[in-house]
Amino acid sequence: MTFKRIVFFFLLLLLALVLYGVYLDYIVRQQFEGKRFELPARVYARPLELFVGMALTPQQLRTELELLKYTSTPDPSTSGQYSQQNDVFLIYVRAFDFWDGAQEEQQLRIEIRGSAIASLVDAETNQGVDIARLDPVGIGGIYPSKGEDRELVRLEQVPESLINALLAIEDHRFYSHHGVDPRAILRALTTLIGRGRIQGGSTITQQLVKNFFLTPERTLRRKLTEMLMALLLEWRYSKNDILETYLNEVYLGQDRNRAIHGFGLASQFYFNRSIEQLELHQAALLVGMLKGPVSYNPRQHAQRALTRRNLVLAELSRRGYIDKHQYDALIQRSLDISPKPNMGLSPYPAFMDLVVRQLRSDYDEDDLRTEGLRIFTTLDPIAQRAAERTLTKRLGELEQQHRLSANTLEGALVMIHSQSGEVNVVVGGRRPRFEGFNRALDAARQIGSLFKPAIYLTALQQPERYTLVTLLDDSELLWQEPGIEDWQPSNYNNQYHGEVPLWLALAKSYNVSAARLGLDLGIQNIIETANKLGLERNLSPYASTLLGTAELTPMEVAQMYHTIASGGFRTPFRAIRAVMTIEGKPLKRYGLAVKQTLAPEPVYLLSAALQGVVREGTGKGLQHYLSPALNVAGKTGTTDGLRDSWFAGFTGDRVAVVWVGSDHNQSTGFTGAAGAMTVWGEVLSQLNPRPLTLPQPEGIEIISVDPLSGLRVDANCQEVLTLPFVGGSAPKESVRCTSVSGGNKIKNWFKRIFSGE
Amino acid sequence: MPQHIRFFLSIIILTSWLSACTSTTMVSPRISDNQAVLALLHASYDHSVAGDYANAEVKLERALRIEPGNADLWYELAHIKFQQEQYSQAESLALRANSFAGNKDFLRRDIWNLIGQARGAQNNFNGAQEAYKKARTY
Repeated sequence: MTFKRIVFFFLLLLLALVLYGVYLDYIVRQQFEGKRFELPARVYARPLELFVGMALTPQQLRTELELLKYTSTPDPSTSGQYSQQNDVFLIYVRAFDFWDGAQEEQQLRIEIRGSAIASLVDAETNQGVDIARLDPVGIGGIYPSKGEDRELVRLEQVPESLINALLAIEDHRFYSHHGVDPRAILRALTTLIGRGRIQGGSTITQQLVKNFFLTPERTLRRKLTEMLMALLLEWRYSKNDILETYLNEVYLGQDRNRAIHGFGLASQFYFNRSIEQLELHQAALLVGMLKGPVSYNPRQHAQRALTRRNLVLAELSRRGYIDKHQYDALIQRSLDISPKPNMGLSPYPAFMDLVVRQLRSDYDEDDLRTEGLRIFTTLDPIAQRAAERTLTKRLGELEQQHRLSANTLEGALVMIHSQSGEVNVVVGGRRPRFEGFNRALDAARQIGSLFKPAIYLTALQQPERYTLVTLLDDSELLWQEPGIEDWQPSNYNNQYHGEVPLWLALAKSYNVSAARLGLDLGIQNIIETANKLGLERNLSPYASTLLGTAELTPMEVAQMYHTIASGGFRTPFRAIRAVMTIEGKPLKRYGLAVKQTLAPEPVYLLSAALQGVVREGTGKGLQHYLSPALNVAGKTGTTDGLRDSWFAGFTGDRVAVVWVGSDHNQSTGFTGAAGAMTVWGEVLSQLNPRPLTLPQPEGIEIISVDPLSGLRVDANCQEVLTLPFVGGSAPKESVRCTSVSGGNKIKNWFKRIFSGE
Repeated sequence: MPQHIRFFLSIIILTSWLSACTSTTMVSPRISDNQAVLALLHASYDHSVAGDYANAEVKLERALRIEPGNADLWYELAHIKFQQEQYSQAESLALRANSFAGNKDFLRRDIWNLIGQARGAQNNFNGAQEAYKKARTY
């Protein structure tokens, strides 16, 4: 071979190497950038706020603490622990960075008496505390499609002890080599010669590069490629970038189908702590696990993990990172593993669905999935769990009661805070842990009688024509319109009731009088009222709409009833309070916003009538679950053939809607009162609801009237109905007291409501 | 007027003025009986004064979650929106405050004045006039 040919061959080889290098460089860059920015957003429920006088039971507080993975211990000594003795809780509250400021660790002593907080004290200073917040429950993340999980950490957040341990064990010349450590390789080569296989010698950079490949290969060729890529990586990126990415990338275990990558997540997964809170012996364990996260899994192989950890501590001592005194103390420590790993994918998919939808309207989905945002929501986990449990249980009971085969029925429930419009609960079906059809947001079903309040509200907006005592005609009705079939609505028992006062027609949910009223007022006007209540869907302008053939989702129904509950102020629902970047910068705040779409007086009258539904009408059965003193307002809804069972109502602080039915639109065999209402009642009864006290608008006066004629009567009469009226619209004529001879005695339920003011 | 009488008169006037002042610098106890609400309201005032309206709002919203029917809190929120030139919301929130104001006439007057200002800022001059007129009735 001539010299020229050798040179030529050599140059060709060089060219091939260079091209290969360029190719590898491309891979390195692509992978590195990709790893760096694949960040999920972390989602939190509302933080539990504590203050003296707050309604809270010991069970509820314990539920929240359990959800927060606080450990119960007789002597709380570190954050994340609590003790309970009878009704006195001592809680060592974790520090937390809220969107409105960082909150430090705090020790609280809480005394609960009679289902309310009686005393709230800082356990260290013994000073009373006005208001305190626990850290919020993490309810999941918005993840990239791979089902991987990250808790991204910035290098600054990582404790120095962890970095020292990592470098000491894995790559102590990290900061001085250029991606490859020749001395380490030499040692590895001697191992190769000695033991016939490649072992160790990898720098942190090389280990990071190893993660870029999908398949593990331990061949020499792969090793050489990795070395080359490591050199390229170091050439392109800084040591700190590489270290940070490594810290977030390394594999540290498995949780069923979820891989645990990165020290931030591992810290949460194994210790229920954020990385900043790791103690040295805990950091040592994690570093020790790098070589074999499955074989050194502290929950499966505690002894092996302990030995490995102590080895790491020994190495740290040998290298002078810790002194003998520290070493002796640390090897005595137990693993300090938290007992239960926290959940990855959200346990509340229906609510998360709502969160994602709200975010999507404001952010790029890629932004959401790649920025590591922290999202603070309005979910109330205590209420959510109560609702889920109750719905599932009741559906089973209803199936048995009505001889339906198992799993025939489905349901949905939404609960919203009355004044703020914050969504506290979303239950999408009877199996709430499963991500499936979200009935709360997407199941549009006929609402039946739930529509009636729109009719009555329209009427009450004309006080010169309609008051709560105006007599409506509940006799047979035949409606004929060109182009459609004759319509003859009927009442539930096919009975007609002649002349009925407006409030009673609504309380008893009579169809015919409502239909006639709606026709008199004009369907377009009713639809306009429905729009003002917050309904955005287009309704068909036919008579049948009056009796609820419109198909709405539980969320849409909730919006309508919420506007009633807020006195005519339409409030858009919010599932998110604030969003923060990973660095702690607030991104967007969803503040409280309202719009007055209806005059307060008619809404007040309607609310009072809805209280009548529960006191006297189709909602009477609610009293089995909730005390009449709560003055709950609500409406039952049942559709044709008993296909849909609805209840919508509100207390002083919550608006809730329940739907029960079958996905296949089969008859359930029961009404709104027998089905949905029982769920509603049972759920609310677990949540310390506030009594409903409607603020009386200026234009309203309270008048005593005779129940039969609706005319004014002396307040001292035996049979008296005390009702609100728009000023000047109350009947002018009076009547003498009717005698007490038989007949129905209608209780003074309105009087009871208003005399308390 | 003799010297000493003038002296005593000015002492009396001064002390009554001072006592009137001190009673209005504190948050009126009639706003709430709830310590948490008062603490949050105080904090909100502090944020407001410092121009940190975002945090002022957050504190008020927390207070409103505790006492949603408290007209003073709604009014304060409306006021903060006004400071931030969000006039439409200032008006709506003030109307909301009005629905809870009961017979707190002084508050109603403040509320309707704020509504007037907010409407004026939105060029709804007729509405503003109505609001001011209403304010004068309290």
